[in-house]
Amino acid sequence: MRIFLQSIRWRIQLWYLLLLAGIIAALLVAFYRNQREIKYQVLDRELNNPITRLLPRMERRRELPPRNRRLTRPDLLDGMGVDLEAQSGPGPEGGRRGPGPGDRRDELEDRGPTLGEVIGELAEENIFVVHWDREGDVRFVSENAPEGLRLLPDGVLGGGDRFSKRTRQGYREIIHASPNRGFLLIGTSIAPIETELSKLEKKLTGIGLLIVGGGFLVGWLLIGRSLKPIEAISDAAHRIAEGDLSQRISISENGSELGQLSSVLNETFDKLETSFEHQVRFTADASHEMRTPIAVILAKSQFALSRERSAEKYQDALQTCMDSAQHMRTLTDSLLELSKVDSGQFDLRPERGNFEDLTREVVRMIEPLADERGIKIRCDLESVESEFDSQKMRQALLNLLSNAVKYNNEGGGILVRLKKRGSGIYWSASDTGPGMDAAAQEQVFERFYRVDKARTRSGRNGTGLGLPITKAIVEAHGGQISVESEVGQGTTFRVDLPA
Amino acid sequence: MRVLVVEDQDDLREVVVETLREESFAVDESADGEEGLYKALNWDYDIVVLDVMMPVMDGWEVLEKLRREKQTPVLMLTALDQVRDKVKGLNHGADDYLAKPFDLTELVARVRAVMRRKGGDHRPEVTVGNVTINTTAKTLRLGDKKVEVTAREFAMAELMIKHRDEVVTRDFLYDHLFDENDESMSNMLDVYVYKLRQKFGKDFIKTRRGQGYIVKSI
Repeated sequence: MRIFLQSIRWRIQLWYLLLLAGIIAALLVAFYRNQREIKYQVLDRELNNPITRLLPRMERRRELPPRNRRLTRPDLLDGMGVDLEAQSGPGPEGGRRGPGPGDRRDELEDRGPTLGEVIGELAEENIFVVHWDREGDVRFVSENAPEGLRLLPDGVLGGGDRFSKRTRQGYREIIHASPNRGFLLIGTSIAPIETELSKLEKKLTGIGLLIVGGGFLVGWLLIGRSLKPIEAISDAAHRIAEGDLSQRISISENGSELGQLSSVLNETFDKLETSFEHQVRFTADASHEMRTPIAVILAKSQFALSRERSAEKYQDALQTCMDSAQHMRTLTDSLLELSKVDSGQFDLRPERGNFEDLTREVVRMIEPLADERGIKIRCDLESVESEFDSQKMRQALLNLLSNAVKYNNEGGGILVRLKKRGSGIYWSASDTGPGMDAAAQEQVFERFYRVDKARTRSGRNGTGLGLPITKAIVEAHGGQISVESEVGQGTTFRVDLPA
Repeated sequence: MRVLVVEDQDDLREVVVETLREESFAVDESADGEEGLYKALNWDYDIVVLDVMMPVMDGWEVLEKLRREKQTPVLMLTALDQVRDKVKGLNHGADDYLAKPFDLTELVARVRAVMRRKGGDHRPEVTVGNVTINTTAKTLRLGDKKVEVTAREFAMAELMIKHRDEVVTRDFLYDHLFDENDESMSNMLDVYVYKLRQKFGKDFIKTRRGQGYIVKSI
């Protein structure tokens, strides 16, 4: 259940369904109420109609329907009186009024059916009529009137409304009050309307369920469709987590948010893969670099110990072992330094100082090495004050200059320049060595990369980490290092530092 | 037995070469792949010890180019010891593989094992007539009696026994017993043959006039 609720698809689906069901229900309820209203209005109109037919008859003929056996005596007499009066009328007035009753009958016949007939007709339409006098006494009741209508409903007597409506125990009733004629109640069963309405209700419920059901299906498909990229993303991420770094998310829609997310993730994966590959290669290279001196130490000591040897042989073996150990120390120091760079623990302690003094110091340190190979160092330096970590910067410049000596031709030259450039420092070391091709220039700052493998590896000094460390130092100072070279034309390493 | 060691790391190459020489191999050396390939193609070595990571031409390339022309046994020597690299080496036609850092004794044992397999002998001990050679213990016996020999004498006996029942030419013996630095004095061979006959009887090595020498298994 929890997983079910955690699924985005299901959550969206549920909210969406809730909303859809709410809207549909509100609409259908409103529609139903409206229909109900209309039906009752029509019904009320139908109930009002007989009033216009009944009232005139009640005015003229006060006679009571003979079928009504429940009339009280005074009413009966009153009614009879009217009747007698009407019947005795023609007697005294004789011929003068001879045609009178006939006229009246004609008149009545002209005016349509009698009250009784009207009530009969109404009864056929399932309409019943009850009449009270002003005192609230029942004057007559239709045969089809329901039980319990003897008493005038409360509130009608006192109220001045000409019409009042009510729905009661399955009947709709309209009560017409007139000061002269008392109260006339016209009612009918609402059962047919209610049956119709309940049919409508069922129909509407059906339609509502259909819409919500359809909405569920459409929503399910739409949400599924729009969430499909997420599945792809999750699949790809899963496979990458399992170690297959070459996996990528296949992007079907570039424009959508998920498409954009996918391409951003793919870029991230690219970078991740690259950096992982770098890391793997770096580790492999580092272990290879360590294995070589270890192999030398192991082999040399085994060789020395395999039998009795001369003192010179032992000395030679020890010398070789020491050299290898020293090489390993340099290597581990460099690796440690680079790991600090990688983990962001490369702390600088910048102090104010003169960059020219530092350069001169480094040149002095490198001169003996240069003299050995007959290389002349020329300096073109300006005095520049700056803030730098003198120990680290010394290491960087020493690296660059010792490279300029190591990779120079015998008897070549080195030019060291230091200039103020705008608000920064321009420092460069150019040698007259064999130079490098474009491919080498691109890789020269990579770890364990060696331009001329044969030469550097036969020497014990090269770790292949000097330039990467130099680069890290320069960049930690907010500067940039670059190389310009041409095969046969020598190489220039250039350092730009902010002042 | 003549061995070529191709390894770019000077100290390592030196000690491997010295060790193999002490094991009475004739050893040539190369500091890079290109030179190594040149030598391997121009001499019939009994085995090439080949480093993988080398300047100019790496071990894989040397192996591939060598295999196009020759079936010289090759033992790959490298710092990469991942299974993938071992498989690659063996699939490319290397006969064995040794990861750095290695034990010198293991290197020697593997060099001997590879050469034995190429010669068709799978055990280190071979008996020819009443002479028994053990290439691992580096001993020669006449019957049950151990006979002291020098490294060169042993190397010659080993080579002759490996090629027993074949006529072995003097040139072949020169090629496989002396390395490129030995001064090839033609009478050196005669000296070793003479000494071996002295120690194991004159019928051990027979002379085929105008052709060379032969050791017969019966």
